[in-house]
Amino acid sequence: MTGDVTSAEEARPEPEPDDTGRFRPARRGSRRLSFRLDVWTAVLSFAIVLVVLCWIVLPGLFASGSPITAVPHDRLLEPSWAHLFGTDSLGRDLFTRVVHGARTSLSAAGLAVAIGLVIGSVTGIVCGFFGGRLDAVVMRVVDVLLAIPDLLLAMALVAALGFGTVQVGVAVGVSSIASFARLSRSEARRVSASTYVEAARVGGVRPSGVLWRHVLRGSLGPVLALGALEIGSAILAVAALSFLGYGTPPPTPEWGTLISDGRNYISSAWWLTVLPGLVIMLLVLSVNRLSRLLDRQIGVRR
Amino acid sequence: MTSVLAYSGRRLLAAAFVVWAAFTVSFVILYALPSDPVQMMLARGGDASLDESAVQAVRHEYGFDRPVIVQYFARLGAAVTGDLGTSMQTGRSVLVSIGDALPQTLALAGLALAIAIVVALLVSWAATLAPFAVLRELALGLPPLGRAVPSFWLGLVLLQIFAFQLGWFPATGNTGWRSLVLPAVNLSVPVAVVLAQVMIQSFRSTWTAPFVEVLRAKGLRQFRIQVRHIMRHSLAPTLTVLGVVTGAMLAGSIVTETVFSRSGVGQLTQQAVTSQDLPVIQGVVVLSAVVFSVVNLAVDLVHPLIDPRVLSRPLGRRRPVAV
Repeated sequence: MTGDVTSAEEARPEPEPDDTGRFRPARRGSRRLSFRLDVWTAVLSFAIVLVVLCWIVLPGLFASGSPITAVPHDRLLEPSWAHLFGTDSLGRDLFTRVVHGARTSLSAAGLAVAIGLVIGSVTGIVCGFFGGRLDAVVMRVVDVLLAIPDLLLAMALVAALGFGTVQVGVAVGVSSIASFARLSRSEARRVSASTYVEAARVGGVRPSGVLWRHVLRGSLGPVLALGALEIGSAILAVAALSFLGYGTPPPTPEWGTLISDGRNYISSAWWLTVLPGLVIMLLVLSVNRLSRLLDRQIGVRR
Repeated sequence: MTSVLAYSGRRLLAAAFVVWAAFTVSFVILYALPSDPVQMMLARGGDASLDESAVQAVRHEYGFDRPVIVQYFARLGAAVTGDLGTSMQTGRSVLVSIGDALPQTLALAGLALAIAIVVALLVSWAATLAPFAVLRELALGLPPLGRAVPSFWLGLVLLQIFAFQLGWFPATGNTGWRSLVLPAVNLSVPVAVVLAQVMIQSFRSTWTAPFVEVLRAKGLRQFRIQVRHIMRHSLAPTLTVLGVVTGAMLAGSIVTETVFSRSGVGQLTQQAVTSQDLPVIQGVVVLSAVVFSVVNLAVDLVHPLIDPRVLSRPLGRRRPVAV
């Protein structure tokens, strides 16, 4: 780097490998900055997820008072210290409703991820391990399911199952089975082809033993990482479906329904839509951040 | 020449298979599961005097009293001739309803795609090639942010700011280009996220490619290398996610059209699910499969124009790998 280089070129002299082994434009000084940012966002994400988990377990601790009883006197109050998120058209404290809604919304999302993870990974691993005609047929079905947008598939399922929190959770879960199956199948195939599985086979371990002890455990890491990433998508999908009106009937608080209720007051009471949405966004951002951390950790260990 | 024909034939066959399979999957979900659309439809009328014979009559009219397998082949046979059934709510042909709604959604999706491409290009450039570390970090944070934002919420916030507070755009409706702006911006976000993720990865790997090294050694200006060579080189991988992107737009239009009360395929879908109008829902699912297949066929055709090397590959491996 001698002579008359322009300042733009000086900012990135030579590409150098980063921690993932890939090459990217060199960054002078930005490594430290991004490391500090990484640590802080991870800590913050962890804190946010922890707080929301506490909302699920002990909603009364964070918001005393009922999320359902109407207080006509306090209609549509702006956010203040008494009402952190303001009040809705029936005078109910919005923060209390958001805190109590966490349980409904997140249990539906949790149910969805559990369904997708269990059914999807079992299907994928079995197909990847045994291969053959079963594998070919199932993977064709998976391809078709992947061609239909997830939200549309979930809506078709909701139409068949009926409305409600559980149904929405099941619908979102079933629509995510295909992506889990696709990933776990390729992982199972990768592990099945590895030397240690071959050694186990040669050593006389029964196929069921190989499947259980080696292939399942070996391919679980990336699948779990996808499961973590899917939590965020599931929260958003559940919220979207209940926003569209397929969730729990009122007055039970539920995040998507809270926002769709606020729609009617959008020009006069901004807090009814903006604040619950911010909570959803912050939570999903944190969950995704943590899941990416998990993904990287698993990638490093491999 | 014959091999090209055989190749196209196989791809057409595969596309037809996807559409048929989507039809079958949606049939299984909607008709084979134990739900009672007739009860639902009659209950909508609000009269409690729902006697069994009336239910039976309607059930017979729609063919729900026949065995499931007979219903399947009857519907499939009709679908092959272009008849997707009639809506149980409006009594109109499903094909006509979707056809009427499609232009609105296409206009919305087209503008959203245009916005998304511009935004994704700017963000990816800023995230990888921009000369300032702070700018790169900021831009790199945008796609995850876009992934986490609830689309319907973003639409409502846009409404609040630009329609109600500033009054620049109408809040609802389909009239005029001004009503198209906010929904298109709303719909462009999930699309831009997908595109930006692919582009960022592609810009990074292209940056260190030998041909870029040569260009640098020849003394080309940075900006020219970036725009003329790196971005152009990244076009091909971006094209391969177009199928995913169209799916994202179709799904996004359901939410966006509901938020902005626009008529279109999305709103049609939302209303159909609300009233459990099974034929319409099946029609939209089949439509999504058709769109997916058409887009992927188009990508296969356009790909050699952008990257002529694909033609020299063996036929089986010509399909771009999805990300």
